[in-house]
Amino acid sequence: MPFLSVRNVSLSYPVFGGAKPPSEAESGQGSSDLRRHAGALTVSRGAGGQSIEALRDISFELKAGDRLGLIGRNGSGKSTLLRVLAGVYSPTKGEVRSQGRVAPLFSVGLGVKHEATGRRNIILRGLMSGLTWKQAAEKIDEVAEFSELGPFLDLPVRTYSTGMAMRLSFAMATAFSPEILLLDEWIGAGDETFQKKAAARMNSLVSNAGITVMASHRRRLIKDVCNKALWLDGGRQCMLGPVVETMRAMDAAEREAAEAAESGGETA
Amino acid sequence: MDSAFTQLVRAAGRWRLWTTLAWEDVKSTYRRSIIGVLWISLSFTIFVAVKLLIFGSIFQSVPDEQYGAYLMLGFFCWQFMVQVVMAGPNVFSGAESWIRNDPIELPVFVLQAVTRSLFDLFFTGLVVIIGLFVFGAGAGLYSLLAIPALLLFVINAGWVVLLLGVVCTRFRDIAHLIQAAMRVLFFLTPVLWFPSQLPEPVREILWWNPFAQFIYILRTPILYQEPAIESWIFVGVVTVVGCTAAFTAFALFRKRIVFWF
Repeated sequence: MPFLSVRNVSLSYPVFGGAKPPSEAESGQGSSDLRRHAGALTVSRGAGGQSIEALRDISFELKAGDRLGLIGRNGSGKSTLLRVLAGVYSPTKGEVRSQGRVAPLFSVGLGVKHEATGRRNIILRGLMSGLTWKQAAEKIDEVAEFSELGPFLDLPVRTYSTGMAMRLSFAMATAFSPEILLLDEWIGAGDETFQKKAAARMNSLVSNAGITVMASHRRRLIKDVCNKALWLDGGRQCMLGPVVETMRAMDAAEREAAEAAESGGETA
Repeated sequence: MDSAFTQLVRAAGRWRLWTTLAWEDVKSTYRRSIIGVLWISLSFTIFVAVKLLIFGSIFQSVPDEQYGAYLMLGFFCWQFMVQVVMAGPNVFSGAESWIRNDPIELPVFVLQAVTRSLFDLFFTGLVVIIGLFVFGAGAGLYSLLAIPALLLFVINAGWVVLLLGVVCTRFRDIAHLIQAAMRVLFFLTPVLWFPSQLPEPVREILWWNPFAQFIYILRTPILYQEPAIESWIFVGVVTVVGCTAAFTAFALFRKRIVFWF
């Protein structure tokens, strides 16, 4: 049975090639307590250069059949958390334990070789998942059918439209019987017919006792698919609970913040 | 995440993946070309032939057959080493699309790059074998030392690509530095010229050029039928030190590399 356990995970990573914060450039002092807000994440500047504290003390556990929706503003750490769950990023503190074949699907164009044909890419993705050539080749028909690529299957992926590339990516990610599916925002794109197909496939995955974690700004999608929601703000875990309650709490907090900003603006 | 050593072993176990990726690289390089991979053999032959024509007439003191084999073997080694050194800096940044999406062992891409360079080694190697017959060189048992020599070439290619991959992903200037340095190093490596043509002090300094030593372990046994023991020792030390350095760098920084793109 697949499971996914996240315990006290924090992650900060360095950023290279960023400009110096203006305050420091002017005053000429580089103190380690110099912090400022960039979007919702904390950028700190110390002896080792700039770094982003993308996640702070995240903990949750998911078991078979769970569908977790990650919600929060842009830059709240949703995509970063997904990458930590996938094992692409190693947490600076804490640990992620998981069991089951993980299928990450982060953005169109990642994990695809653009010069190679759709057919070759299916093979490559199968090999990535640890299959043999033969096992991967057996999946070609299924992926081809689901992605509706038709004659494009034998053309290089660089000739595909965004929608075609997305359909291929989704079909590939779900074809190799994943037990843990990690989806980032983009899955909300695409036409309605494909949306329905994608949702149906995700449901069948879930009913096969899989785990899904998805990040999206589309509330409808989260409400339809997920049974739990995790609200992130500034890389911190604000609330983990049922979807509707968590969204309500997030809305209330945002309203409050907006009102505070407004009244603050008036007094100043 | 697994330990660095486990990752290396697991990466090696994914041979189906890295051989396929390497073949993809070859295919996309020669995409829509008619003679395809034969370009590797052809461009090598053209280079050797032209150099032989020009420099053969300059170095009148050396018999043509011998200079031909000398230049061909030297350039065979040099071309492989350049390819490896140039591939190193891009090994991870070129695979960014995979690395940022999949939790894949990074040495997979090192093995891919090394396998890719073996294609070229094979197709230039064919020309070298034919060339040795033409020049009438290489008949003798010492020529068999080419087998362990090539094995050392491949092992060293592995650590060079891994080390350069780690270092150059973090420090982007080094790739440019290497590119500039390799152009100069070609003239400091005895491919076109003979060390005996140099004055004593210069020769002694250039003895420390590792590229030269790698050429010696392959060329000297074939051409002169002598083992070149000093060079084997030199290359052996480089292999051990290099593998240790590359493994250490990988073990220390493997978790951070994904943040360096």
